[in-house]
Amino acid sequence: MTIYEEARLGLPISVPIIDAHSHLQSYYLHQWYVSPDSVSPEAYIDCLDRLGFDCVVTGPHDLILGCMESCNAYAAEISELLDGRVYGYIVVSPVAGMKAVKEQIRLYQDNPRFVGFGFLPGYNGQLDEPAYQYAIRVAAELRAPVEVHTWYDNPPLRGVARLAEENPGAKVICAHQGGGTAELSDRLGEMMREIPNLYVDNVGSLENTYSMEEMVEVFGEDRIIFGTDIVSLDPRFDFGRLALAPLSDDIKRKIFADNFQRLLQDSHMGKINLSGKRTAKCSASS
Amino acid sequence: MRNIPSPNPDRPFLPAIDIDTRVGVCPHHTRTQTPEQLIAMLDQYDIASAVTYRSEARLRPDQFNAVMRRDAAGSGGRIRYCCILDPGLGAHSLPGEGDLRARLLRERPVAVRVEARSAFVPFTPFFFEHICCVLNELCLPLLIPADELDSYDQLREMAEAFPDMPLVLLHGAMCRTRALEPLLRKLPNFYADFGVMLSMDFLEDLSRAGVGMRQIMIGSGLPAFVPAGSLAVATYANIPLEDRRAILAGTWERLESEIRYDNL
Repeated sequence: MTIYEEARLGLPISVPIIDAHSHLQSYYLHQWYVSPDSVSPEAYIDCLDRLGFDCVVTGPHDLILGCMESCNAYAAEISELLDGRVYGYIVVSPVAGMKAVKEQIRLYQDNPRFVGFGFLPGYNGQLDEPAYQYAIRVAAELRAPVEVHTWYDNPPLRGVARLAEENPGAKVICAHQGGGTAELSDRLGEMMREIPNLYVDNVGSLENTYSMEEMVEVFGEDRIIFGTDIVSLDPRFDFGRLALAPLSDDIKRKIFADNFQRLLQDSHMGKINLSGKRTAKCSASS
Repeated sequence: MRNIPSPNPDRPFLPAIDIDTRVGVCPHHTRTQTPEQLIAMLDQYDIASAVTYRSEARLRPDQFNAVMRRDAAGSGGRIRYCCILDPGLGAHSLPGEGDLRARLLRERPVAVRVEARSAFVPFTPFFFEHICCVLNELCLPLLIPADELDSYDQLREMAEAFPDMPLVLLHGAMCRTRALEPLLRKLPNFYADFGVMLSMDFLEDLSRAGVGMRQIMIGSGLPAFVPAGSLAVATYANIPLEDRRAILAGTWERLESEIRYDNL
């Protein structure tokens, strides 16, 4: 059975899947809504199993208000509880100040459940702020992935690209297909051709008129990282756009997991173990 | 279109109807310029049929509604004819003679689509009465894209004013969960597609509350958007099989069966 056929029937996908852009934890700010029944550890596992996701990498969305310490603490806690199914990004917020940023990085960079960094510029200041500049240098030294938010060119796409350009050791993942529109995707695609350590994720593609097969043309099949924004967004939307796309299963496998795994190969941070698909139990319920 | 065999009896292949598509010339979006291209897109996702209007019918409704009707008739059931009604032209949006009722009875679209905000006409009973009174009599679905509204309260006003007219919101579920739930719960003639239903497990919330399971459908927004996202939300919905079946096709089939062209 192909990935398309599994998805069209609503069956768990049988190839490895890493959701590298997630925001576990309930979240009701402004228009955002998630079913209250979907925000427990048991519910996370149930959701991952129904879709066939091996694991997610998370940076809780409280970061929007600058709550860096509590986000990292939650990521540490939930990744330990759901061992092998949840990993964390060390999230960084300049709002908390440089001292706190350094302390958070020191606290978590050797924790094997943290596999990279998450920046939320636009909400938490701009990328030229010293805290982000410090964190990206650490990420470069660790050869770690850094997921960088941008939406509608805030922060400017050029700034995200510069982060990668100036820190070639880091693997910068530009979130949201470059900012949510086909025009921004085109601009990012041009930058990615010049900057080899710049990647993109497919997350939040609700307004982007490019299909996944068109995004593969723009970005290349080796540079797209899969994610869904779960639980801030329903993961089935972005997941379906890839699973049901008229792309070969080889390309889908790269995007679903292989591309992100490749970013972790020479990283000095945590690694993702994919051997536990649908076998890791939710220790919260035991 | 295939029928994919499933190893899981609770996850059989379910036919789907896409209620939000168009063909014709559309700047920047060339996926479905012809009916053949639309059918190829439907085949790509194993979608049985689509409710479709003609892009150019917004320029000259009578001429291009007729083209759409012809194309739908020649599509072997893959394309269902949706006409555009211009609130200023009224009956003259359709070819032929007679009032709007007479022309609709002759043309027999499965749905009517209007644009309000684009035409600087508020989507309210005051401005749409001349069209909606007829649709109400015929129980003919009215499709309204979310970006043609000034406020979601206009949906309440219209649904209350024309209770036999199915009012279908297109592409408007995105992050509007808190407004959609009361509309679905309190207005039996209100419907919505969830081409961009993005609040996690809202569908499951509605199902548990017994709300809206016969009022939600799938609509892609082709050619600007592809059906993959909303299709997956439905196929993976953690709700009873019969609800999934209704969302994917059953509800639209029921709405069509209730149109009173032959039963006035």
